[in-house]
Amino acid sequence: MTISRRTFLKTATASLGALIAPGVLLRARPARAVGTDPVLVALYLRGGCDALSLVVPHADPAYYAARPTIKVPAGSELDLDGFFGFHPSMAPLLPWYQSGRLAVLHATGSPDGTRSHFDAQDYMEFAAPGDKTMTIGWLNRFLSSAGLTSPLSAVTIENAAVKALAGPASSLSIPTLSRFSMYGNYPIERRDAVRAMSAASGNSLVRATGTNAIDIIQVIGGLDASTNVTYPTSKLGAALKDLAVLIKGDVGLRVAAVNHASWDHHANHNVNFPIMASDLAGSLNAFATDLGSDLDRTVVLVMSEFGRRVAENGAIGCDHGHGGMMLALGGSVAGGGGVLLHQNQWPGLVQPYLFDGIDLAATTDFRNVFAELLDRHMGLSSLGSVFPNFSVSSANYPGLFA
Amino acid sequence: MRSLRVALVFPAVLAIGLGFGCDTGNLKKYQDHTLNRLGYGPDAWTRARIQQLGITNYIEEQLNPSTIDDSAVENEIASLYPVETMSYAVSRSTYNEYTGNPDVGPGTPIRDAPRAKLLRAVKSHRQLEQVLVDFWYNHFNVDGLNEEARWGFLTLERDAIRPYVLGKFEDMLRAVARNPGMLDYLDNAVNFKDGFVYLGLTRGINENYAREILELHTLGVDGGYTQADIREVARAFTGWTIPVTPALFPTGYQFLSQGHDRNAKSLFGGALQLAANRGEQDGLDVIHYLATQPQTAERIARKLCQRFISEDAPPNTVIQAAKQTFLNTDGDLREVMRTILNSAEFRGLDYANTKFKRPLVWVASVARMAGVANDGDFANVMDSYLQQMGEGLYRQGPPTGYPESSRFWAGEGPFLMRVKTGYLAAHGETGFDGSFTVTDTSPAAVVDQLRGLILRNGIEPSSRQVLIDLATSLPPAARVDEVAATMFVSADFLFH
Repeated sequence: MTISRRTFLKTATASLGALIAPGVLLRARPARAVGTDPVLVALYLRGGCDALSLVVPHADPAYYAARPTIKVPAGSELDLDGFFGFHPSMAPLLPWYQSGRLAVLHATGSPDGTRSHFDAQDYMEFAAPGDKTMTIGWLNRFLSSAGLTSPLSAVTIENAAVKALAGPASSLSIPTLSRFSMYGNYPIERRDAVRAMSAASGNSLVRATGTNAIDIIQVIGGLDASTNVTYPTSKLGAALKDLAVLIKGDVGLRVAAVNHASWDHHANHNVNFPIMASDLAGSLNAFATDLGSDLDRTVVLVMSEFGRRVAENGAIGCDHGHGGMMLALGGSVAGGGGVLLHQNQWPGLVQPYLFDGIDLAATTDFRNVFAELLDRHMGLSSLGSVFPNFSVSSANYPGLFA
Repeated sequence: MRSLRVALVFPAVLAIGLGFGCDTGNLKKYQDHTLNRLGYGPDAWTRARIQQLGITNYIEEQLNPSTIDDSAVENEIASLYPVETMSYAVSRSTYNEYTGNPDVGPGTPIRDAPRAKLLRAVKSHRQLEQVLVDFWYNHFNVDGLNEEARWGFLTLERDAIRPYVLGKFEDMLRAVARNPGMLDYLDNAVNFKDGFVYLGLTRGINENYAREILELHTLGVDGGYTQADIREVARAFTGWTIPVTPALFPTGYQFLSQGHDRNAKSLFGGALQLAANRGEQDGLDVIHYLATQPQTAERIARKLCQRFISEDAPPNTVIQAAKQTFLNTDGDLREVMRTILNSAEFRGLDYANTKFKRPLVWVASVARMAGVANDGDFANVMDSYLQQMGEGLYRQGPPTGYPESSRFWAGEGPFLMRVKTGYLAAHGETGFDGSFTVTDTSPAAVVDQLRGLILRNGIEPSSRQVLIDLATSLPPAARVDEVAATMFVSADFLFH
């Protein structure tokens, strides 16, 4: 027995819940054709991406003074607006910026000054700087606020949900689509047996996980996984390739989380950073190309827990810092008109403008970026429950959308 | 609720605990429940041993692991994975640089230690010790991918944790504080008195370790300390660092007195006063203080009860009894474990099958049933599978370790990895053996005979029926493998 995806979508609501529950707080939208619901992809650069190398302030002489051995040589950057330029390895993303579909934000970050990876990542994923009591991620709070109750609404392309998706609203952990098949002999018989056994179990956890997992096999089995786009042969490339299949297949996905490790370059920067940047840019370029018209309803937000120290260290690298950068890539994004800065001001790389005297200041609070995306892209009207201790005002939005 | 969770009256529990007779079906349930929780599930050796000794004496033997010969698995591990027997200094120099050869480089310890851990879980007869080592490593979690911890995480487990899991908590806490993996991971290696110039940089107080020894290792986040206490604890530990020349300090710890803050310190509302100029004794006194506080005793007792009895609602009577034992014995963890393992709550079946097996527990319990034919292949593949199930061994990033949470482990992707692993095990692929003795290939007989081997303590009737239907749909020759593969992902095998 094979179940087509459409049949499945109609019949599986008993186990997966209402697939697209009407979002009580979502602004009324015109009746949508298939494949028009907005999608948010949260791409997390783990380890503290060096924002000053990815988006180089090439018109700021202090940059070159602070980084004699790890600077991007003047003139080799890919100019964006006369002041900033991409690292040369970011070349695949330059056309997306030039066509206005990639917004670049600089001097972004948290009001909390921690330089600890796990604290900074937690504060960002819970959208609660300095608050260690928060246990529900910002994307999970979004799902609840929007009334998105189907497990297919959200996915982490990873073994376990990222903390941004931790919480009561369900989501799936799908490390690779290829796993969602039955390996070995008698796949149909065993698949049906596992589902029947799980569905009949008195154990609620097994009942939910077992039936969802098997049902998703059937959803994914009905998807067209072919693409004529070549992705980098990296973990990130593979994750985005799988994610594109889910988005193009319109399985009801609204939020996706992807990790990109490891950006913690205390040493060997000149070797490691171009590899990482090249993977990032190549994978995103392939993903955006692969999405085709689905890019119009998708925004990829690229973030990291902090930027790195302005001055290089003694090991051809740089240590944990503060202010960082973010990227937003999507068909509806209004990028390309210069790097976005809070009040159009570059904080600078010299005293007295450095955070703690050593790091780039974070003048754009990352929560304003999150808020603008949920409001303007995802259509969530009431942001209060997503950012409980933060006053959201559209006046503070960085301006990702026209 | 579930068919297995039969509440038994207390005298029955006592009878088992005292080794009195009872009907053999029930006895097997108690035996397998004990083996499920006290170790990585039953295998032929432990079933025979618990049958021979009785439950009480089996537990007592497990509480004294040095009396159990484990040389076979330890010799094999030493031969397969040389890093397992190296000192920190030797490991640090042997695996210092990336060479292009995966057998020799900073990635070697984190490649080999998880495989050794898998083999111990499956093959060691010291089952309780293996479970406790896992528990305490998780308690003191260090990410083995982190800088200097790439060498130190292994000696953290081997030298700072394993010798003390049935010893004194204070001894473990002290050894952990002096471990280079911990010193690196929580930054105490760079915690020096303000203004101290070391290796060309001006240093200062780093509070990272001080915060976590209070919050995670001992008192707990609600343990009644302040930010000022964190600062004072950090000052007490200034100078506890990793040596620049490991050869001179083979364990990877050095007290650098020049970097120590020599001024007097006052902690915990004056309950702990440290006079000036006491050097390393400052930190040792803080460790002694923290290891003897009732908040620490209660927190350790609670965490152990969550691991061994119930994650959601560990019975308060046992927590309090274990806490009291901890306080009465200066934190003797063998006595604390004896209290927990001899409690009616551990011995009875009220809490049986209420915990979703962590991936390592599940994989090891499958392997102990299906057998392993090629240890190296099994360990290589299953280390990778454990990462795909969300429990990368020694690879958890945050200092909190992995959560004691069934829900955390029950993602859909990881679940399907269990479905696949159950198949590999039953079919003898990727190093598994996968032979089962079944004498009759009729559907009900296949299911019931496998059930008698794999799930001696029972199966939900609905699961049994589904498995019989599965067997019926298959040719007789395929029944044993496919039913076994599927039984490994039944609720009764997924839980323990």
